[in-house]
Amino acid sequence: MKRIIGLALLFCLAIATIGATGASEGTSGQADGVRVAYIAKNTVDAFHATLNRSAKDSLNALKADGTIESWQLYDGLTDPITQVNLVENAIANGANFVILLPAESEGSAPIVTRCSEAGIPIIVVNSRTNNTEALANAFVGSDDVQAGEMMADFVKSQIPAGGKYAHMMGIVGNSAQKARGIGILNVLKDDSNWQAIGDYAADWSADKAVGFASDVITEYGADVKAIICDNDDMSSAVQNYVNSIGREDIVAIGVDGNAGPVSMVKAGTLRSTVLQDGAAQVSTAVSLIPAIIAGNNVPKVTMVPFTLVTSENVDQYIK
Amino acid sequence: MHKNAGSENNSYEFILDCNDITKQYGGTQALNGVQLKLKKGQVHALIGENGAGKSTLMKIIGGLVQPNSGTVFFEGKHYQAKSPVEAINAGIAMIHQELNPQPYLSIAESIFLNREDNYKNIPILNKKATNERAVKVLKKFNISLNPKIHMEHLTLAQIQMIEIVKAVSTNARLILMDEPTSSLDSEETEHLFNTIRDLQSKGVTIVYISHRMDEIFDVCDSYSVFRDGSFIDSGNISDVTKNDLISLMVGRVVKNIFPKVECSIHDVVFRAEKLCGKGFKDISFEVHAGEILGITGLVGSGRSETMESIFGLNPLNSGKMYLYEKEIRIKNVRDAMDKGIAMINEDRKEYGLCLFRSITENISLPSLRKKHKGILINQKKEKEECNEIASKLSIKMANIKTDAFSLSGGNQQKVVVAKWLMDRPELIILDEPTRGVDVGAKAEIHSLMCQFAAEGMAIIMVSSELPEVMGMSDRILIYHEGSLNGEITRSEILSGKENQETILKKEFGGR
Amino acid sequence: MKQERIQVQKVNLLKMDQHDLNIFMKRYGIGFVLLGMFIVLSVASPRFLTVLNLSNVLTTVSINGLLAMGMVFVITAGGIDLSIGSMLALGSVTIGLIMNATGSIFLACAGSIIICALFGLVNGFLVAKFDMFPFVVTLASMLVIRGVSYVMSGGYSFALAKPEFAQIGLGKLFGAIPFPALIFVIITLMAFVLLQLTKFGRYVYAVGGNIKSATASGVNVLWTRIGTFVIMGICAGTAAIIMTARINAAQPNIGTGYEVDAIAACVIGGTSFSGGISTIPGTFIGVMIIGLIFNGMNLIGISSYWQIIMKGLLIIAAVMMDKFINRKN
Repeated sequence: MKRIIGLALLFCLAIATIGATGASEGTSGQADGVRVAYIAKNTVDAFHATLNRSAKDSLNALKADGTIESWQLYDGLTDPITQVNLVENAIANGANFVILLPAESEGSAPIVTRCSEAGIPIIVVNSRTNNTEALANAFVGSDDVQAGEMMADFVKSQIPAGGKYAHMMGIVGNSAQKARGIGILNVLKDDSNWQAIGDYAADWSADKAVGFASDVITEYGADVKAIICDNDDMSSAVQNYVNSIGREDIVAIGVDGNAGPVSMVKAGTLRSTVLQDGAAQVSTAVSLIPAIIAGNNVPKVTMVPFTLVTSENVDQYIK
Repeated sequence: MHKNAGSENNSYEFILDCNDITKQYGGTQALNGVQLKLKKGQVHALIGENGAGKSTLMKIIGGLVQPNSGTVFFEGKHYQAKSPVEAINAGIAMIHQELNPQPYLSIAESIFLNREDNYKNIPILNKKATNERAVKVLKKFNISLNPKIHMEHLTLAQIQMIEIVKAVSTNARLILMDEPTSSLDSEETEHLFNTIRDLQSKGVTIVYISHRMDEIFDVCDSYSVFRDGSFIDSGNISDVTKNDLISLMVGRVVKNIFPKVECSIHDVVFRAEKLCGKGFKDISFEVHAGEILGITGLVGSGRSETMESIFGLNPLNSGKMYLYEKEIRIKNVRDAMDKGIAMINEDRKEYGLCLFRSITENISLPSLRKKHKGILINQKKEKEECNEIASKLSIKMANIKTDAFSLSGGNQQKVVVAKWLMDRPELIILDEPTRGVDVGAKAEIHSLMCQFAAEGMAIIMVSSELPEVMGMSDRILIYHEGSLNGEITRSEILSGKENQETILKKEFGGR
Repeated sequence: MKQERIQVQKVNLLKMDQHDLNIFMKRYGIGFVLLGMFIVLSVASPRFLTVLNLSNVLTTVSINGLLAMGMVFVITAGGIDLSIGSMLALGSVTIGLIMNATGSIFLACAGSIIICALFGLVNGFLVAKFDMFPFVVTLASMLVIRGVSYVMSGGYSFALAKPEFAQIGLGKLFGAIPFPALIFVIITLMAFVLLQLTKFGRYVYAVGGNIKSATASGVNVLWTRIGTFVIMGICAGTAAIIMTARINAAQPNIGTGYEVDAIAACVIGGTSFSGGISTIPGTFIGVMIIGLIFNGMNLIGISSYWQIIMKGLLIIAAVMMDKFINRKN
């Protein structure tokens, strides 16, 4: 009896799984229209949630005006191998246009290769794979070196006398992380007022960054003037931390323009954050679709500029 | 207990009155309308072969399982326990056959688990008060253990005493004991009996389950017999004999409990010379082909330890061993097996079987290495051989592929025996081969032993049960505190020169 | 009596008596779930039952499948291995370094398998020889191995010297069977033979079922336990080859969290966490079920949040089934 109950239970579960799936909007028929596969990097961090929302809005708009027939989001789970699997899934599922937000510069490259071999147009967004220039139809992103330079310039403008600074890195090897580090060095390396304490592998993670920051402040005390972070999840957490120990003089800054840091700028507890306009990157990429379908030439690389968000302009970026 | 005596009213004839209890497990009828009636202050023996339904009834009374139908009255009131806690609250405690102590709790903490003392109104444990309470209850039983000692440091007998103390401290008026002596030696058993008599004098009623007839006649007042899930008979112990009870249990007259067949004894197979190890020293003996060598002694006297060292389970500190007069060295179990030594461990569940694997897998495990060349197992050959030996030992099973778990105790033990017979050994060591096995299976195992002896194997049988040792052995070695203290031959027993009493004396160190 | 006979006859059509059927149900009952998913998915999406999609599913599950085939040995022997995600990264980096140094694809693949097997050996040795908890040992080695792969690669991912290596991940035999799927199926068959038909496999069951009884029956417990971890290492090393070929790069930061799916597949497939109970077909079914949740959701277009929830619910359901069916109290 129990066996039957157990099996029945599992069977219901299986049906519920697929039932739930079936209830969704789903794919439409096999017609010749354009079916876009939007391969997200992930669906969980705040920055990519913004990107995915922008994708939803702009792609739905294209669908409404009939340019494309359907589109679907595939969640890459920040894992290149998952993304590689997903593109196969998408193709089997009838996709004939791909928008890719790579999880890794090396690891996600086979997706671009695969699409180019299959003759499926692909737009790479936000960060490059190492074969983007060669094989992708277009790249839309922002120049992360510029972001690094903007952060460093802001730090210099806030503390003209200079001092020591620490750099909280994202996951080492990530292209954005590398480029932002280069940007910081471009500005501060040859500046005699500024000395680097070190680069810390905080893995994009706020709590790790705070841990490193507290170590740095314990070690170098008042000499620490700035903590530059590869993203603003880290910089906002670090600023909160230094404020809490009475070191409001320390400048923490990061990149992305997530909702939390922006509201801190509004509240005056964070001096600035560098907005990476991810939403604009995605909507720009989507706006290239009609031209690519029509066979027209589109710019190989489109750069969406970064914006420095300070107390003066914060109102237009707060959501 | 005074409170109890004071509130006693004689409105009920039986303190526990179970009627028409039925319990089914899946398709099997475990209990079929049984009854159990206990008078206050009695020690009541509940007897029957394994699978007769004794334990099921105990579980129902103890609140572990629910009956399908039937009524229970306890102290004149309708009683139904949905959990052990309810049973304890009602005044019924159960001492399980397999004790499961909390190793890292102290004695006091164990006794008062779930009934701890707090400081006044603050939810913080007052260990001192708990310890003082523990000292008081321990004193009642003349136990002089420090209540702060952790349970892990106690012997099985001590743990059992603590369980009984705990039961009494919860104001239990009925205590269910499931084979309480199965892991005790004679001295500890005697101590337990004194405790039982003491409880009895305080008005506590006891249900006593045991396979050992001598104990039942020693300590019990009345009995109930179950067979195959049905109630057979009940009465006063003083009105029956052992043979009466055994025939009631088995449903037939068992003529000879120990069917020892005399067979000719040949050359020395195995000889031990001055073996020393943990728990024993200077052990020398020999065993011949066709001989059953009985070994007895108190639990902890080093009998099992010696055997485990011979079999390579534990290291030997010094001493020499000879097989057919050739010196052998045994570093591990595989060495022993290669030399043709087999051992059936006293703890069937722990060392004998993988309960959730099939009978086939259990039987063939030790002999896989020799019987199947290469890396693959010849499934067909394996199945045939296992079936053959299973039918030779008449193991009762649904199918050779069922889990060992589903077998009764006696049949599980036969599977363990079968394991070691696959690869016909020269010397077979049986440590407590019939512990927890019902009368019928016991006799079968005994006759198997005689059969092995007749086939020319040398057999060492370790047992705490003196009648078994005396009934089965050609020679008996007696252990006392890690050394041999006497050797008795079968003729000395048959002539009456040595008897249970003289052997016990030797076990306790006498001459 | 009469009724019983009819029942037996009916069942005989499947060439099994009632008892065999019980065993079959308790071992492979989970297969009906897979079957159910198959049916529902075929109805829900016209693209599900296509050769392309099914070979995609097999390819997608191949990495998790290989890991699960190793994991089932470890869990059956009463252990667990959390370090396999890190082993994937180590294998990937090893492949990259060897390939770029020697130019040999064969040496690179062998290197990955050997280095993962070596770490498996270390895991197994620590667990079996010193009787340390496998959970703790492999938790520690997870960190060590991850660190080693960062050290070996300098923290960076890098491209591979031999572009044809990618064929292992992307190519197809006869243009139809993807190599990763082929490797997965072959390893599954090998695992089946090893666990269910050999003496070693029997010893694994015995050690997991009751380690004391195995010792007392002359089983070499030490090497049996070590063996399971080495097999896990070999499987992880093989999975690393496929993974590296699929992404066509050596990457030190991949593989995080892969142990979870491998363990989940084993559990869904009826492997008992207390050891001693498991089957390879069951594990294969577990792998496929997890793969189909993923595939089905994507095919019909549902957010991955639901996929995570489903996976969790399935594990609980599988464990409940283990309780209800495998062990009748």
